[in-house]
Amino acid sequence: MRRIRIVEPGLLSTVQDLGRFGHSALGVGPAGAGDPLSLRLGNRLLGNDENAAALEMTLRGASIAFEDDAVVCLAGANAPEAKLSNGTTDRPLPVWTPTPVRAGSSLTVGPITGGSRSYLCLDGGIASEPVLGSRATHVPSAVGPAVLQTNTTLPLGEPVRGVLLAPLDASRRRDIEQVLTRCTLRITPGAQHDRFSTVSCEALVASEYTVSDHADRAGIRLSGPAIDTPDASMRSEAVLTGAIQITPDGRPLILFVDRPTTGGYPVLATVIYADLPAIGQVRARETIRFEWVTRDEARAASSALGKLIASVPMPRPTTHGTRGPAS
Amino acid sequence: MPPTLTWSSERSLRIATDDPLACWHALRASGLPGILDITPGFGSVQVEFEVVGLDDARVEDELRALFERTSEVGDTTEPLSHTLPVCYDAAFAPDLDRVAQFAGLSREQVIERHTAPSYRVEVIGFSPGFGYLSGLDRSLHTPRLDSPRTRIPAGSVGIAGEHTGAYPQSTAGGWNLIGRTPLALFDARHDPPALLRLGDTVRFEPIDMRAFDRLSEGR
Repeated sequence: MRRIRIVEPGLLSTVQDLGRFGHSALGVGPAGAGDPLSLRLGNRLLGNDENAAALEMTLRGASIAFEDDAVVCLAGANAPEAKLSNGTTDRPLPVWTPTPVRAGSSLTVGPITGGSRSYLCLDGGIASEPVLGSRATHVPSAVGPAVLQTNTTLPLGEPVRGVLLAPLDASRRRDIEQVLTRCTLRITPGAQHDRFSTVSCEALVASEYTVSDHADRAGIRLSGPAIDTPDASMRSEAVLTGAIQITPDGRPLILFVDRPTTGGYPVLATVIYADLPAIGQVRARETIRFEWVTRDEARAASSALGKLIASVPMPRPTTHGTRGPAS
Repeated sequence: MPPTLTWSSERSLRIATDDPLACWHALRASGLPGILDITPGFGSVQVEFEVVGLDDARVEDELRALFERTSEVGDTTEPLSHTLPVCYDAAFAPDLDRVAQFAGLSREQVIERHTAPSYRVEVIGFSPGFGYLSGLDRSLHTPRLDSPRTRIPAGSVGIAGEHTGAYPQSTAGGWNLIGRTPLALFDARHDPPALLRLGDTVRFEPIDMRAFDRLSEGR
């Protein structure tokens, strides 16, 4: 089996696919890519299944040694200093560009800019052992592959050979970057919306909020004007990725992919599915706003995003280049 | 009381019900299309759907029809009974005195009252395999700590409000810790991964430090 080795993990690098669903009644949260849009597109550009596992890197990327040949694609936020080295020459690795890499080469991703997460997608995907049906890492509960450390080796799956590799075209790239850098997040009423006053509902969309330094895969704390919360305490109920809890100090907390399955603070609103990838790319100290939309508008935004993803051509194996049965 | 439906996003419904367990079973067995996950909480169940093709009226009709069909069927799975050995040694029980003081009882009386009832797993949440057990003796109801500990050992047994439970992982936690179980409560590579299931019953059995060490060795 082909392998890559982590030479240096960067700030926080994990294995992620699109998440682990169907086990929440056991207390197992979804995890998965913080920016699922970029993961899906990076995989598409390689001819992978959209759910194939990749390396999620946060703010500062990893250094990786290739023990075998592979085709890679960086997806998501930009990594302007990313370079491939074969020992004698270096060449840049641009984002959204499938690139063949020879065994013995190394990749240094370096700083991640214009967003907070970049994905290293690999042909065949990362083939670590699935746990409860997924290869995603839930960092707080340690379900799934361990957070990557120096010298961790990762197996790669069977690649699709002979595909015609092309970078993402400029027009789609602009469309996708617009989705990922969106700073007005659309919301619909959340699970405890009816416990909040009209004033609170209006307050959430009336001002800008700043992403605090306490922003990670589990949740994004916001600072800004306080919102009146219901007095009575509530018992723990199910929560959702993108749910906006109002904590007792009146600040919004957006629950994210490494959230628990239940929570004890009231949820005023939920960020729509189509805007979750933008949460995965937001950086500390950036400002965001919220905007109420209807459920039908939210679903229409999802359909539009689905169409954008489907419009990125999937490379198909050429007739003569396809490999025989898996060895 | 029939369950009431409220959309909690464009892709999820909150179902308020006085029997979340039965509601969860009915939904799991329903075979309704597009369900990603079903999550029971206190007094409610959340159903999360794939966004593609969702329509308010269609989903609400399907769920109402489902609950009419299943109202008389109820929960058909047999709950399991578990006995969890717990060592209440002071080394594992930093808050046993606090609970005793709050209740006006001695440490021994707290242990006695904690091991007497048969508890029910009412909700699993917070972290993988963490069961909120109901049935705690009234005198032992104790508010959670003002500021949570940042890291507590796996297996810690605690009390918060009207619930007791055991932490499967080493996590942050604000419950009053009164003992520790040597048993593994969650292992994602086991089938089933969680020792406790919703609706199961649990008793605590006091053990000494030697028994704790012996039982820990197998882990």
